[in-house]
Amino acid sequence: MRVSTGQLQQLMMDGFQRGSVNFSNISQQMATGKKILKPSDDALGTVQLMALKKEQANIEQYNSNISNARRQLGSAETYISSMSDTLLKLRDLTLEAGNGAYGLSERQALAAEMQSLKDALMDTANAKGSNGKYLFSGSEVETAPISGPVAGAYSYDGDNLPRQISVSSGVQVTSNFDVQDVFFNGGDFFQDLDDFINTLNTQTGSVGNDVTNMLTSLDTSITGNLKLLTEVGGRINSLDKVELTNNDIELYGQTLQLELESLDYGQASMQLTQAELALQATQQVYIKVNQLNLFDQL
Amino acid sequence: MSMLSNGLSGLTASQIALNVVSNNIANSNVAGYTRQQTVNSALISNSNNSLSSGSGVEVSAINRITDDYLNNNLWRSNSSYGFNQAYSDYLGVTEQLLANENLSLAAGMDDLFNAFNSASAEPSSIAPRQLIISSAEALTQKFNSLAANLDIQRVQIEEQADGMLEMANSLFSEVATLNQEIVDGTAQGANVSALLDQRDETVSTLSKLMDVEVARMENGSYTLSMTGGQPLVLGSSAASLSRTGSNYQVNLAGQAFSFSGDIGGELGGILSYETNILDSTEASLNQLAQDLADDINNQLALGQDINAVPGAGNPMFDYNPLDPAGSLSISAGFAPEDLALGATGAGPGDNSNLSQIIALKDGHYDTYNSLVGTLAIQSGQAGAEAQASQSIAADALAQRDSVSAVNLDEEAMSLIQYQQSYQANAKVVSASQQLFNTLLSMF
Repeated sequence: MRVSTGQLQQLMMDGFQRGSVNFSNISQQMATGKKILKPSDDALGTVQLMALKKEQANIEQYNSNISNARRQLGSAETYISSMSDTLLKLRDLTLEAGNGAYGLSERQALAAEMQSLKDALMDTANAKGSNGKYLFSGSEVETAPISGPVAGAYSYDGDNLPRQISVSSGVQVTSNFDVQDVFFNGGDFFQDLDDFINTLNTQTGSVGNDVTNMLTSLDTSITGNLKLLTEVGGRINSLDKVELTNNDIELYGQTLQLELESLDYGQASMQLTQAELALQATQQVYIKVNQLNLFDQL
Repeated sequence: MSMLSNGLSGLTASQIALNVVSNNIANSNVAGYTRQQTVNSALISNSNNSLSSGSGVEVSAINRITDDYLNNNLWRSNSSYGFNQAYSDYLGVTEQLLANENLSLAAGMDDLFNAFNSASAEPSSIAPRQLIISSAEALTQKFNSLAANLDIQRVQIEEQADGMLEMANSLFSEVATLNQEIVDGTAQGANVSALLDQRDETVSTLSKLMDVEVARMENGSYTLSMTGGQPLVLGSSAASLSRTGSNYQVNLAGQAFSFSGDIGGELGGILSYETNILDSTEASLNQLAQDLADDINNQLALGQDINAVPGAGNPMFDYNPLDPAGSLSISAGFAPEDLALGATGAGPGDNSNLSQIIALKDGHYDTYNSLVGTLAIQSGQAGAEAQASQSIAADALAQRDSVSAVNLDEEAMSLIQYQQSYQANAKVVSASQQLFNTLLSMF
């Protein structure tokens, strides 16, 4: 084939251009550390990466939800176990009040102690979290769960709606509690307690029946509270497990992400050397070709 | 005495040949220059004498070394390259735009839904609610800025299309003028090679802009038409292309023909990009903006805000249905307290409506993901096609040049050849003079 002089020059120029495009691509990859410079470099990889990044963002959020839930459940747990202690103490004192040898003055002393325990129990049930919201009134976080006495009776002013927090894909944990079942399970615990204290303060005869009734009321509350205690422990436990799983998934995702988007520097520097060599070779050929000119010999 | 005139004819022929060679050398760097060659033929003897050897040499023609097929091939491949390059360039910009980390809707949606998620622990506090509104606002700004960028692209395309139409028009009249000059020049017996080159170069430039069919007429003029048959250049009259919106018209001698934007070349490339990619990308983006805003607004309408006021009638997102992505914003005066995160009738600590909102994420995310994925695939394909058509065009040029362009080594040889021929003929003249002198000295 006949080759024109212009064609030879063009051929060389194309070679230079191809060489420098290749060179600049590899150096850009090395500068950014990324294999995929634009989506069309690897369309499938780009879509996979986007999905992975979304998953990573989700997991980050889930883990932040877990620490929020753990904080809320943790403070609730402290209050619930304190309620449990108080209730057991009240039960001991109630049993002690049934002692046939006790007279009014001993019962009055017991009553005084029970009164202060009752106040503490009320305070605990109406406790607020660090954000100033009530802990035990369901979703009515602005309302104290227990109010009263009005004409001797107490009332539960919260609700039973759970507040669920997503902690993993498809897994939710309830982060709030209500104490309706603890103190108002078919009766009015605080009214019972007030009545009993009043009896101890005033009644001179036997209090055997009152003690039995108070014990029944106490046991209902203790059972209700124990249920809360079990629940809070269970929820905190499951948070720990879910967090471990999340971390595993996150790590796996990060590995995949690195594989998809990160540049293999060893391979890239080899390619860079090759591109450099090709460019140099083209330059040398250009100089050789330019020396091959019949006019030089005339 | 024929020896003297033979020598003279040889000198003249060598001179013409040297002129042609020098012209070839002088033009060796001119794009589209077609090399010329002299055709020499022996002059037959005038006398009826069997011992007369002949009457010397004459240059019977100066040939222009060209191949119509290779030229056609070059022009066709130019059009295809122009089309693919323009299409792929714009597509590359768009894919980069949508995948840009700062504009990415994927990251924006992550932020917004994470903010919703953060609020699920304490729906009754203002801080996480504020975060929802500010993330939502950031997302609307990403939508706005993507829409604005696509709008800018549309304006650019239309400006570029207008510029290209104008350029095509001026190329048509250039071809028409050259047609006239070539027809006239040929009739007068002039060498029109330079004009032919110029016309081929003009057609070549034109073919990058759009597909053109070239018909070669008997009298030497070119008739150009679009692939759909609409005439562009007839003899010395040129058509003009014009555009009103997306209605394209070609006018020739008072007659108008309409044509679609699908005309190949760079012009066809950007117009096809506009109808095939830009329109649909914009539509997807608008659909996504509208769906996302509607879904979240509709879900918020089912709940109640922090003060137990129903969310219905107080949407968070606002947009103009004619331009959802470009106009998406947070409703004026929408406050963190207005977010209806709880179920109606529940306390301020309820987050059950919020959970429904969080569940909306995946669908929208997939829509955006597949938009970026589709663009990436299309751009990859267009890039590969552009590259392939570039090498086909380069190949077509190489084939044409291998026939028509100047090779300096070849010209150097011709230079030596005709220089020697000139010297030899000069020797013949001088020998003839010596012979004559010998004869004269006898007297």
